[in-house]
Amino acid sequence: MQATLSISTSERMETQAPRSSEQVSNARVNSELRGRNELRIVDNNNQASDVIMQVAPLTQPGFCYVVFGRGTQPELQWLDPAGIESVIAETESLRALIDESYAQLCEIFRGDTVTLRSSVDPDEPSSRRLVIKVKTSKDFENASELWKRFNDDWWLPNFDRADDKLCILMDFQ
Amino acid sequence: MTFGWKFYVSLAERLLTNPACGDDPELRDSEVQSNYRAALSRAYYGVFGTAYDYLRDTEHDFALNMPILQQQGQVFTAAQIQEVETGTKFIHDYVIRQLSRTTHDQRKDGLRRGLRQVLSSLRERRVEADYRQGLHYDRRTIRVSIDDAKTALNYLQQLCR
Repeated sequence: MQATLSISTSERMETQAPRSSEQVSNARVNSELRGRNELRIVDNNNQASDVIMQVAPLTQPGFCYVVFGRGTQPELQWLDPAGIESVIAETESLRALIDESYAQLCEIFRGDTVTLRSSVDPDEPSSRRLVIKVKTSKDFENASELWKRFNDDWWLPNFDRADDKLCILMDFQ
Repeated sequence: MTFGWKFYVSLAERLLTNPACGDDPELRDSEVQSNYRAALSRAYYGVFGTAYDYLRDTEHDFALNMPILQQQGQVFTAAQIQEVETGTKFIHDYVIRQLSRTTHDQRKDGLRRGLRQVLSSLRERRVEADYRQGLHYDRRTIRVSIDDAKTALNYLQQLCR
């Protein structure tokens, strides 16, 4: 059966259908936005699922955008929120790039941990930037192949958008 | 004789292949970790130094050539010297910034983008390895970084053709 997703909120919002809606299939479902930052599935018995997506409001009032999260993928972990926000404040376009990069990493490195932090080179303190790190539990060959795919298909074509303010690394668990 | 920075990447490879020789397990782990950190640092500087030379010698970057021209007796105005000193004060940023300038050659711009991406990752690894306590490195992370450094050297080789 084709799934249907709808988002109900206490405020009027324009929404974009989540890209993973096709994965929420085999049942007639409704979704519910709670606290404006979580998307849950509600089945026909009004039983809410765990959070299936994180939803981030954009800055324009009245708009909401499903920006990251697939399946039960956890939220991107911000390790130093103040430092991260200070970099984003200087280059606001990074916010969208971070969200998109995170979505790509979740898609490719399913189940692995992804963190975000700010970093500064002590030798050149003017160069504060952000670092996304995926910590994978996959074996070396598999991880290397996925890493190459991520770089070739996503990161390299989008690298110029970062303006050298974002770096993405892979570590092994 | 000009020093070949790329041999730092070969050194990084050796540090990865033969990371320790001691028998004491605790000392051995410290030795392995210090060699891994040194390998990450050398991998970055191997690429950074080669990229610097490429900009200076192949792209004839004015700021990077100024010290050589001065040694050869060329005279610059105080304003020119000041501008170059300010622009190259943070030399790692400067090299990456210069590589981001378009050459209006699609092939070269593609190679330079790939080079910047790797250089950016290696730089972050180098900062972690040189300054951050509390990290315990996995051999596979070093392997990936050295392979990245080799890829970057390959980009530079193609750019110099």
